Amino acid sequence: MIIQKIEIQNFRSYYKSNTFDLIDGFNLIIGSNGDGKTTFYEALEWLFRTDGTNKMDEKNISKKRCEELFANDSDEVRVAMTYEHKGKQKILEKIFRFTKSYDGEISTSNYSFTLTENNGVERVNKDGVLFDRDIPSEMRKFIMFKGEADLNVLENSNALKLLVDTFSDVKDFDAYFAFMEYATKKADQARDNAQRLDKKNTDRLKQLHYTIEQEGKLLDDIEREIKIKENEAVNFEGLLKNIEQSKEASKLLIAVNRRIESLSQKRSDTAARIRENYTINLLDDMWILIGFDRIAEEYSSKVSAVDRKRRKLEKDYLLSAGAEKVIKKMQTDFTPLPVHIPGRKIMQEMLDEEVCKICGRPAKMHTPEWEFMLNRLKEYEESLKVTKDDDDIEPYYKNNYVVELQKRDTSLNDNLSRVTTMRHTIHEAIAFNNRLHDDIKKIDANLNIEFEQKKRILAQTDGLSEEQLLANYENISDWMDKKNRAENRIDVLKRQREQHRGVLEDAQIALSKLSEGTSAAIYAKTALIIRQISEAFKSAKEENKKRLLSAIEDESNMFLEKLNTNDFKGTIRILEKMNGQGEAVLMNNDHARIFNPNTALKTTYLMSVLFAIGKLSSERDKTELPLLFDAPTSSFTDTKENEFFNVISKLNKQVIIVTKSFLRDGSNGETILDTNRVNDINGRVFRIEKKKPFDDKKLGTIQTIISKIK
Amino acid sequence: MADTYNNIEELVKQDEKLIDIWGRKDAYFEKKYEQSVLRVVSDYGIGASENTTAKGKVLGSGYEAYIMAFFIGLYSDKRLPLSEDNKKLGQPINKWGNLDSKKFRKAYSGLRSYIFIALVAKTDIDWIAVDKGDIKVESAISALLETMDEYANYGFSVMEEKLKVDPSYFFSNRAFLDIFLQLTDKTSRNNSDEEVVEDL
Repeated sequence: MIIQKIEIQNFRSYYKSNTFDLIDGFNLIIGSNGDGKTTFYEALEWLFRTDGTNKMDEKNISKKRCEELFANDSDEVRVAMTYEHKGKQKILEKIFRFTKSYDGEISTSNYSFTLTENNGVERVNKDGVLFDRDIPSEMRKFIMFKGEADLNVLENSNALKLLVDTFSDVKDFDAYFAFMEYATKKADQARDNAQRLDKKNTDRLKQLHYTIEQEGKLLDDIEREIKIKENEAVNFEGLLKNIEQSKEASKLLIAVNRRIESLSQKRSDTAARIRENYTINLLDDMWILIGFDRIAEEYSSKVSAVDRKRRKLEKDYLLSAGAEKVIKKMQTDFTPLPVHIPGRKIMQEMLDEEVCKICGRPAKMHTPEWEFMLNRLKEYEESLKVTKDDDDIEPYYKNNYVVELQKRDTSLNDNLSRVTTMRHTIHEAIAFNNRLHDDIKKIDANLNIEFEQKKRILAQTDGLSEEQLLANYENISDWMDKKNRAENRIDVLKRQREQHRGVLEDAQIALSKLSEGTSAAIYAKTALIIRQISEAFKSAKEENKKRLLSAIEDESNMFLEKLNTNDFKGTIRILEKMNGQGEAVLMNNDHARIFNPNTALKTTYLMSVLFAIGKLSSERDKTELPLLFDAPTSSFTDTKENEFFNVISKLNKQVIIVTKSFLRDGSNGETILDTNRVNDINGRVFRIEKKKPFDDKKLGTIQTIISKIK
Repeated sequence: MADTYNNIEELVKQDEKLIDIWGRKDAYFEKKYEQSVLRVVSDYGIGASENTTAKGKVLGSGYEAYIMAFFIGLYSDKRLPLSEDNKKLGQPINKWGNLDSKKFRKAYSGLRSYIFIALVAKTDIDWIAVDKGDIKVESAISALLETMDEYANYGFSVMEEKLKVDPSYFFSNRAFLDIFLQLTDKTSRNNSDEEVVEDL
């Protein structure tokens, strides 16, 4: 298919009629932001809609044209594509009318969607939905790409199968398959009918037919289970492959999480040991007494002085006021009985025994001697009583408060040592807390390192969340197990299949042999031959497909080489899966899959596969579809972009690219086209831009104008 | 006999220690500090049942703020006579520091003795005359209380100044501690009191 012309009329910024005449080759449409690039792309998207949606969307009507219309005036939105397909020229056209009412409302009508075939002599109008026959709607996502991310469709494993089926010979086999199946059935029927006439082998025939039927059923079951198990194996392999990429990250993440957990625990333990309620310490631990030593000293000297003075005053008072009694007391105190006078005990003894033990003479009771001794004793006892007679001296002090103060001083001195070490205690407590704070700071620094590490790990895992990574890790052994089980089962089933195929074949051969020499022989032989041809087709399809995939692989790598001349590129490999699907992947030279190529590499590798498929299909003279890209090179550097356009222009394939490349900012803020670079382009180049002047706040003044540059 | 009856109180008081008489008394502070200081740093004026709203206060009862103020005045050795417009703290001294119902706090009733000691050290009282009965013990106690209130009054003025500059000044754990470290460090180095005041 070659697109020859695209006409856009009154479609959004495309005011009135606009035409792009395209060539069979490289077409470049250059425009800056808002110049109508995406509108061009979306106009085609709208045109290609065959599902009847968005038929007359008012949003698509040119605002400028709308505002310009007089009341009751009308015009058309029209997008048309003229193309050549399998030797026929066709026009796909979508139109609707829009009318402005007297109160300025816009209404739409007269929708039409037609496919006009020009077969040289006459024009035949058909329903536009027939466009699906030229490009099936599921194929459109493989020819139109909006931005680089859209290319991801090729990573879908079904995509490759679909492309291969469409672009290669392989799909032609399907028609043969259907025929072969029909032929085999007919041949078998003919043989069976012929054999039914063979009466003498009835039992044997019955038995063989039974065997064939049973084995056939068994083989069907086995085939079905193989298919199921193959799908299972592929699914788990896919899951494991995704994990493969993230397995290391999962491991690292678990380790990091463990370290974070232990550091956090350590942090909270350390934080719990910090006692910084210093204000409360001032009271509860009496830290507030930190400066009390000086006060205590002051108290001590004051109270001591008062106490000394108090005692002295008391003594003076006692000495003067109570002099007489005191002297008497002092006399008795300081003038004791003569030494030779015995104490009270001896005196009592002498009185009891009525003898003076001092002179050795008897002193009978009531004699003057005895009376003398008694008198001395009384006198002595009297003298002992003298102090008690002080009672009648007035006490000097009424109160003893100073004594209380003095006592307090003593206990204060006992406690003072604690007060003097208070400052030290406080500083130690602060230092201890500061050390803990330092420890926490260190832990925090380590935690930060771990959090950074974690962030890095998560950033490198292509959008997998932490939970997914952790879950993946848990799933590895489970999936591995399931995949292995499926594969082992497939092996067993395939062995069984061989065995049963053998039994079936033996039965078929036996059946043929039975008919030897009978009228059924020829039918049996024919059936056998047709079955063998059918088998040959099956393996030919496989071979063909393998060859095609390998050809795509080779071609893709050649494109990749061209698109990445001076850059790392890896190697494209087309992997065939258990269930027969293929997947285009990028490999390193050590056969490890590159899961996250940079965007430019990803774009070029996916495009290489696209181009390879396109090239191969054109070589085989198959339907070739144009490729349409909207801004596919936004991640490319200028050099890479030049290489890219250079390769595309030599592709011998119709490619339409809408881009803002080749534009640069001028010194006055205007946009300048890089004519030197444009001149290097081998193909057709259009420039689209907003018609000046325009009001940047009024959509109704925006109009895209097209100029063909070369 | 009448004399004996009249003496009963006198006799009771004689048996009582000075610190106990002092302990039954209450402190006074200038009314203006109730809003500007006491209610800012303590639960002063908040009933026991309203504890929930008292969260975030640095100190508990109002007397804790008073004690802080007193020691600031004491260590600065600055007394400030109270204006006429003053108010009773509302809790007798012998209740200070008992704290038996507060969580996570320790009782510090012993601190009262030190306050008493400081007051005796700093108040000029003819103790001999007191012991002789020439000066009534009540007036000695009054003198002690006056000293206490004046030191605290100075302390409150310092605290108010701090809060004027930074309303959240005392929410720092170290605010009070640093004040005392600074005050006592200077005094222990025998620097002049003037400098301490300037620093505050």
